[in-house]
Amino acid sequence: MASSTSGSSSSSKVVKIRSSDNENFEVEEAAAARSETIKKLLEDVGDDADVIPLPNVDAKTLVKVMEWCKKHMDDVDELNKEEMKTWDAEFVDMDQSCLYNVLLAANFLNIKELLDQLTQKVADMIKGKSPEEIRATFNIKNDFTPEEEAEIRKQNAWAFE
Amino acid sequence: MDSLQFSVWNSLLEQCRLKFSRLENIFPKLNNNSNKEWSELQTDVSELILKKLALVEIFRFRAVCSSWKIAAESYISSQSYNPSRKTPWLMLGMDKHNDPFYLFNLTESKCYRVRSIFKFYYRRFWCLGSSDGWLLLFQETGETHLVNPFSGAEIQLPWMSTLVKYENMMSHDDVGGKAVFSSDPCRSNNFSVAFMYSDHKWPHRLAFCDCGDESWRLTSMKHQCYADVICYKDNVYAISPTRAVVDIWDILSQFPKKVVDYVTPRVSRSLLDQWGWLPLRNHVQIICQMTTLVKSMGEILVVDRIMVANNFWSTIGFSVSKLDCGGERNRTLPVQTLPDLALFVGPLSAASVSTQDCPELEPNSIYFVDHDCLGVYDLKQRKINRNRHAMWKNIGYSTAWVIPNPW
Repeated sequence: MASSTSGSSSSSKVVKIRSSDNENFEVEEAAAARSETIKKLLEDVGDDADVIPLPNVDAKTLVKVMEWCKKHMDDVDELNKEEMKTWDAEFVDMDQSCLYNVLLAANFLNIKELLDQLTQKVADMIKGKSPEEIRATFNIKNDFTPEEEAEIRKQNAWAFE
Repeated sequence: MDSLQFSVWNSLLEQCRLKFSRLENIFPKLNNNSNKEWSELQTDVSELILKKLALVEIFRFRAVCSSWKIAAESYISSQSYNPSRKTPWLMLGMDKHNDPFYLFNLTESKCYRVRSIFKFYYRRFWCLGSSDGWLLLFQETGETHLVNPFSGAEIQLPWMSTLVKYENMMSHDDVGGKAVFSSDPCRSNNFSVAFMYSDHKWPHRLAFCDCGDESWRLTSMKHQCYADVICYKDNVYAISPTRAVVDIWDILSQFPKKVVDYVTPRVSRSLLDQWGWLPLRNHVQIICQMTTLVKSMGEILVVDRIMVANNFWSTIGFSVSKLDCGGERNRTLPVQTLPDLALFVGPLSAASVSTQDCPELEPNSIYFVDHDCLGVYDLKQRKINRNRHAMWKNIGYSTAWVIPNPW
């Protein structure tokens, strides 16, 4: 997707963004502006902006985020709401490592709706699981001492049954 | 780019770098699959996740690793966690003194056995009400405690034996009781309790105490008894069973400071018809009305639950109104719909929750428990959805909705 121009209308404005691994992207302004961070930068800088560097978002993650932004560029009418819901559900269905990167990118780029969908996905992955299962799901190391862990579980023992 | 724009751009980039450098400490390399990633979530992100979890899931989140423990604890002790905006839990199995004690989580449809958190669990005790996430427990010795089933915290109250004997409670079929607080007991020790109770001698009287008091203060009442009591804007509101009178008390006063007569409509025949209730020919069916006061969106709602007697009391429908003191006459105004709201009613407690905060709940509905089911009354359709599950068998009416208060 590097250096690709997107959008059906050739007259729509395009902004350039650069990933941490120095790939340049051209994205429709309406899509990029779903990110409050990019929108603010564009407002402050005006038309003279050259390339907006995003040194903490890699190309792979940026492609994913911009895919969401493009889909959510326009207001959704009632008819398409269900279709959009299905699309969103499929979008957040990614492996935990990718989910983590997109989650942090959405937070940094300040895309509230995407952040809400991603944190909901994480919450759904946590629900109904024991601490051991949560660790396995997210590849987290148990750094408690056995004594600490016993103490935590003692506080609300019923929650771990 | 002229020099002015250039300097603006530079300063913006500098701001970006500052933000990035802060971020870099937290996620050094985005594509690095080290298992530190998820354990080092930023605080604002972990808070967004925690907001979407029920309290029991937050307890498990806390047990995952040390940084998640810090995140969970800082979240539940912050203003962001508001227990009264969460789906209440249901306390079950207190109708027989030697039954185990269960908490039912609606969002998971799961029951937890929690009796062992009480230090005195080996003794007989009785729950006489729930408010702000606390249970008022009365033991056979006469000792009375407020207990938070989620945190295990306990606060001693004056012994109840001065008001009522445990044996009298046991012999009384319709065990009544409801405790309401002037403020959440976990926020400060400076709170008062209004307690409506009944035994075989006195139906639903009102008593007050301050935290730290030696004994309860019985009030002098104009009316024989009350149907329900609620704490609202530092006053205690008590409604008569006919719903015609609401007494308003300064908490701890002996006499009500204001007695308000209400013009109140009766449940109409047409409403009964809509609920599909048809009296049997040559057969008298008994109808009863149970009134609950619910604080909701800054108002007091009067929720009337209409029940018919078969082998057990069974709910056929609800009628909702609100107290209106604004006009020339004090009235109760009918409420047709509760958009974005779910009410929880029962004899020991009541709650109102926004379905925007808790999307798992049905809007425009009233949650209640009958002898054999968890019911959800749809106010718009005027229909009841009953969830019959093995665990709802013979649970009786002494179940209480408990706000998940972690402190």
